Amino acid sequence: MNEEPSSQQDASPGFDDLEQLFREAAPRQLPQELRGRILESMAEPVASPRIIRFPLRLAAAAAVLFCVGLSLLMMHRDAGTRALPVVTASPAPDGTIEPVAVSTSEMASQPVGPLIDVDGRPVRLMKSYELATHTFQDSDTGALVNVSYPQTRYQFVPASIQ
Amino acid sequence: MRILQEALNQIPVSFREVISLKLWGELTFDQIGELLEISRNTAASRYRIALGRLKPLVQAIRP
Repeated sequence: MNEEPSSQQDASPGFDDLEQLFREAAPRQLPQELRGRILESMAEPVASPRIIRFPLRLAAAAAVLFCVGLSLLMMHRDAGTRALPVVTASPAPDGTIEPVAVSTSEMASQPVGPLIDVDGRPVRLMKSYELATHTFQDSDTGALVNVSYPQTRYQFVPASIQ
Repeated sequence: MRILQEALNQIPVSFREVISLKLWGELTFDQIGELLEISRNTAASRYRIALGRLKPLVQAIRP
């Protein structure tokens, strides 16, 4: 993710004067709808998806296959004749696979952009790097399989708790 | 400021959000996309469309 100030990228040729006009007129209070959205995001600290959509489903399937393959290899080396587990997922009619549990652990975070006044409270956008873990359950054996992946999350946080 | 606010009020909320975040929040399109759960290209597209709509509005309102 690019961290450069917005003035150094995302140029919009032909609108320089208008952009400058708006920047100079930056209000102390953000528009109501934006305040509402920011407050809403502050009220929902964890925005992890509860349903894995198509691209993540592929990644999850690949990870499951990798884990199964690794397990098979280890078992073959260690035990040879032990029963081999087969992990199967049960996709919903719409093609999604719902995890039985989702957790995230924050690895690092850093402030992004200036302090913003939201209803009298100084608020800053924080960028967090997290490790998300989705736990899937084998529909045949009930065994749990964890799939972890890194993700970036943006969240407005009151300046007082940063 | 009042002129700009009047002009902003005449464009859809989805465009107002992007303009506010970009010019007043100083966020990049990537960050706006993450926050609004839209793609970077959608954020950039909304921004340019919003500017295109705001320009004549501001020119018309300005004395």
